[in-house]
Amino acid sequence: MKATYSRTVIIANDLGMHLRAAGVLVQTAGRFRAEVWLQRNEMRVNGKSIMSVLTLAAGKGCELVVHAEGDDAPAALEEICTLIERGFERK
Amino acid sequence: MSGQPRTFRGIGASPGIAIGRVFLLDRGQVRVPRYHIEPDQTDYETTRLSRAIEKSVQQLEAIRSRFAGGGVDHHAILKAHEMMLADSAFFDESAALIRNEHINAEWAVSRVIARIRGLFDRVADAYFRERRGDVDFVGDRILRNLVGQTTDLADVANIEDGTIIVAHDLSPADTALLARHRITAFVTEVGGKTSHTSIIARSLEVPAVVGVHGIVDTAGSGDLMIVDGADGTVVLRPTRTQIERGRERSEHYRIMNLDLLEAKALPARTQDGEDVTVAGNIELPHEVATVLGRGGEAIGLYRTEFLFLGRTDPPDEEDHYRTYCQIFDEVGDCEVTIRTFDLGGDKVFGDEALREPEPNPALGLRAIRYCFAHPEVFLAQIAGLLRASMRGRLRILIPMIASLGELRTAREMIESVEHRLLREGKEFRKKIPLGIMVEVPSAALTADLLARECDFFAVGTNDLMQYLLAIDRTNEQVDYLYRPLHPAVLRTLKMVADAAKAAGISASVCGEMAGELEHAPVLMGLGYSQLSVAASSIPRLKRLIRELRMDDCVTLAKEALQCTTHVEADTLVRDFLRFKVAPNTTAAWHMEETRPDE
Repeated sequence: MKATYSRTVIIANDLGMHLRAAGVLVQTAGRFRAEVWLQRNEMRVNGKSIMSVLTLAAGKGCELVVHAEGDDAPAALEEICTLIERGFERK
Repeated sequence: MSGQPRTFRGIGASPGIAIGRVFLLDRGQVRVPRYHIEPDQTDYETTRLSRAIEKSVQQLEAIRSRFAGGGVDHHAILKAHEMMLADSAFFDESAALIRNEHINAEWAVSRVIARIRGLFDRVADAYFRERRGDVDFVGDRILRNLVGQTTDLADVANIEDGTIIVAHDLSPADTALLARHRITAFVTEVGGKTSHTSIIARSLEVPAVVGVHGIVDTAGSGDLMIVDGADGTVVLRPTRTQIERGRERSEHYRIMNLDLLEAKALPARTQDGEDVTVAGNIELPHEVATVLGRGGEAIGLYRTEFLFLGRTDPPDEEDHYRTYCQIFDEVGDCEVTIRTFDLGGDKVFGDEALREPEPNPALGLRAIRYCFAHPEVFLAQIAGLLRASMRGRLRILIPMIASLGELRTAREMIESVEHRLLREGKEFRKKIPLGIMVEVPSAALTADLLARECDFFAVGTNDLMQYLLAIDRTNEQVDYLYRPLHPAVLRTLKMVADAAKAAGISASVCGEMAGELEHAPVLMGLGYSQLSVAASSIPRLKRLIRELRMDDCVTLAKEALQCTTHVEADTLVRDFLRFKVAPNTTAAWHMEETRPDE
């Protein structure tokens, strides 16, 4: 049984998870073997699908729960949450 | 001319008033064939679907690689569209419909698109709601590839300057193709303030009205039109009085903007009286106007690759001559640095494209190396440049120089063209400054030798960092290694600046690093007297320079060179900005940076 790791993050940048940001997030998630899910309220989507991520319509201040499940889940969770908290800037 | 005048009301998406003739981009809706398939046909349908998706991705990739202008963000949007196309959730859902309901691929795709679109329709936030447009563009492209219709604007080459583009909607791919023309205004049926047409129009500083219902069915190519991008009105086939009034308002708008222009016209002089030349990088001749309008003092880098793209044979001497004359006619007395073409390897024209792609184009036969292998192509460009030099202040810049021998060969080739022109009795200016791009580490390490035999250095930080730090910036796995303040980069920049100074020649930076405003003080402190950046960065860079003291910058550069890691240097620069620059000045950068797709 694989463990699921979860963390709550708040969208920090003014524009929220806009098109380019969603692209960066999905690319990042895609680098890990772990499955990645993003949850906003009742809505839960695949973090490796850009269309699904966009439909979350996650604007600034929105609370998201990031779930990661699989071998490298802790690393995936860490990197994705950091990305969101830094407002989707790579550096 | 037939047809009554008609006024339409839409959403003003980019301010300004334009009067021009319509070019109607009407591809019409794709007809989506819908039929059931035999159960044993499902594999065939899913294969058709995956082929259409693959083809769509390739088309976007091709547009993205051809489209070098418009900034990193436009690239990012096209990239995001590629990712949407390749989204496996989208494919899986469509494939499941094909398998379970036995419907054809077109039908399945249009149903999935409609469902995703529906999700966006319910979103309250306007920006996210607009993303259904992105879903449509992506779906439309797949559908057209499935039914075998052409997707891109084949007739775009016939668009004349001064045209008003009228369309149902423009995709980022469309605007990438249109950016090569001098469009006067954009009018679309759909869209909002954050749709791509609006974003691109604002960045091109061209008026746009979106959400104009019924315009595509009413307007015809060649019709006269007035577009008011501020109040969102569009007058089709205006009367003489309406045209008169349009001209007056256009003039009024221009005067309103003069205030802004005046601020931009201030010199880029530091508090302690040192002048820095703030120049603009361009890829297309008509961008000259934008650079000058933003307060640019020179054209610091004109990349001539665009002249070579999208054609089957290389441009001849006349093509070059005409293009450069066009630039000189617009810039007046400003200095223009024209870089000979940096192509080869991955993006050569004509038959060459059929060759096997090089395994390692960045290290392959490109730029000056390509010129030595195909001298006729280079000599035609040089001849065009020399002849155009009569029209203005030209500097010739040679890319990818890696040794003194190459510089000497390039100079000899230029001299051979001079002899030919003399024999033919064609005029050209003598002693045109000849400079080199310093972007290969071997050039940086021998900068002292090169400086004695050329007239200026232009540092291309993108390539320099790629070679110096061994990072491929298109590979996102190593993108985080892009560290402009890495000690190796700083030492190299210093070596090059010092060599230029010792030889009494000027040194500029024209790579991305110059446009990353936080790095400008270090570059100035190292001794770079010209920074050449994208037009959009010019006003902010000038404002920054006017707040700095050069002696502070020199101290900063010295301290940065002492740092042992880029982290230390980053902190140093951040603190410098915090103490030496008004918060409002730096705050403006971040606002721009976090705007989504501009």
